[in-house]
Amino acid sequence: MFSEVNWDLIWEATGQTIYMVGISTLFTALIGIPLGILLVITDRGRIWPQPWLQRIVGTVVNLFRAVPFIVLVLFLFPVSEFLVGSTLGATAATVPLIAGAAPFYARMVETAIREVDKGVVEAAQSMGTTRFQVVTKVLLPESTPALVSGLTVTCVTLVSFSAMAGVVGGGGLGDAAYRYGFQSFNQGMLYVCGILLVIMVQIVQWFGDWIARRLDKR
Amino acid sequence: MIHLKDINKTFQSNRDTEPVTALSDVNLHIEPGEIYGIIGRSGAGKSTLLRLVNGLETPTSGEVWVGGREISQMKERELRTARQKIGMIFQHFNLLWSRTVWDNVAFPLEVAGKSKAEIKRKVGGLLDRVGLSERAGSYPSQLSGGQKQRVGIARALANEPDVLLCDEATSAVDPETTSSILQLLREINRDTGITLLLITHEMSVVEAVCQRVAVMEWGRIIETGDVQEIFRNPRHSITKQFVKQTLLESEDGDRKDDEGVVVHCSLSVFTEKWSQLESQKGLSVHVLEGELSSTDGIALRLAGRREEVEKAVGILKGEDAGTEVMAGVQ
Ligand SMILES: Nc1ncnc2c1ncn2[C@@H]1O[C@H](COP(=O)(O)OP(=O)(O)O)[C@@H](O)[C@H]1O
Ligand SMILES: [Mg+2]
Repeated sequence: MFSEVNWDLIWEATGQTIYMVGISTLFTALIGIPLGILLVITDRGRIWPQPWLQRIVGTVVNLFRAVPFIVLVLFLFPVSEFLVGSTLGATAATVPLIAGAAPFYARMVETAIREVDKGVVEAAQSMGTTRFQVVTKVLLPESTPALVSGLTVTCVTLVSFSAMAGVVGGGGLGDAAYRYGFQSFNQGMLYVCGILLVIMVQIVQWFGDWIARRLDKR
Repeated sequence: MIHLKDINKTFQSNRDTEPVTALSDVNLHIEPGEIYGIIGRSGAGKSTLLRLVNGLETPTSGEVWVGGREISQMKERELRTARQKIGMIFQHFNLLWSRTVWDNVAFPLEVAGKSKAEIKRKVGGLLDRVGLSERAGSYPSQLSGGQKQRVGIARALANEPDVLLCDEATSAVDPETTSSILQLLREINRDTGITLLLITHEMSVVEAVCQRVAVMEWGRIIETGDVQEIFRNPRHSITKQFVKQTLLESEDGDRKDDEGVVVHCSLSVFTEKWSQLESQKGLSVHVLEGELSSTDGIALRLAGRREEVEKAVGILKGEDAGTEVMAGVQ
């Protein structure tokens, strides 16, 4: 069965998946963390109460979360392909991936930040910290393990999302499984792609858990 | 050093709920270098009062002055600088679990923009002062409650403040640790002349360290004065309860079930009536030691048959209005 597997295609697809997941995880963190922080600190009784801003950010986040991922892909893929150039399928795929994952992660960040002990924030303020220092010196360091665990879950989700985005034109293991496996009646290709996706998820989960555990000094 | 003038504070948590009055007509004047206690039951408004002093709360009306500057009128930037000179410690320590002991103490110095070299020099000295040099690399989770509070104290002292605010600083530790923490605070006050404002719900804490005390109830200061004086002559019923609490606490545990009364009277009354009490059959008189020095009067536990106890109380009360029954059956 494995004799029919085209390993060159497999490795190329694996590279594309890693690329898509890597880029979109990075940008998901870069967008999700500030959004999550904003959702907490603009709340009443927090360090920067801005009820209107909070409502707007909350609504936008919920809107993106409510749209099923496949719909986001169908809507955003053509847009992003046009934006980044039609030859860059994998790069174009990262746009809907980020749009789908960032609001999801923002809510996880929100939960993590809310769990930081209010007493510690108060202690920091009693020492004369600015709001910015409260964020960088207290909220972020004190929530790091939860932020890492959340990002791990998000990254795992992105692996499976990337398989879907791939079919529509992003490439990667999902696309390979569909085109060279399913459509070409090549069982070997289908299984290898599937196994590689499972291994990827396992590695991400294991690595994320390991980092989160190492950072947790509680 | 600290002056609160005509302070009122209400919290309006929701537009359609009644505002909560946390402080009413509070006036308080604390001298430099003083150890001042505020005692009151839970919800009396103690924490709110303390948080006014470093601007964590702003008064609804009234003025808060610290070291000749009005905290309640400061702009944010000015307030942040002022806070560096007002240390604060907490019931639950509020250390950053993600930082080592060393880095926790370095925190306020980083915030104040001190150089690496200065931070290094200062943190070493502070940890030495609170006896935790050996634990510099530990994380808070590896420390006992008493050690955590020592880190809290070192952190609060890092920028050499003029005032140290203590919010129930010993309420989460055992009695032995409490006395060592209080001892440390007293030494720091003696060595640096720092003004200490300490809130608690335990009269024994007030007794152990404070020179003056204010008693709070329902957001008001109902009694203030010299600690010795308050113990000798508590006027308000709440104050009496707090005084009574320490007298009962300091007794031997094995006498708990033994009914009796605690009586406080002047030393002259005691010496005058002593022979009469002694001759009374079925009455045991137990002098509660260590509570008050003899010039302030004396606390006695009278135990025995009910009639005998009542008779003894009558003898002691006699003509002296200062004799007070603090606890127990009558
Ligand atoms: N941020 C707040 N919002 C609403 N009510 C508050 C707030 N802080 C304190 N209070 C109320 O003010 C009163 C005094 O509280 P507090 O100062 O914490 O008392 P204590 O420290 O003596 O236990 C309580 O009734 C409390 O519920
Ligand atoms: Mg309190």
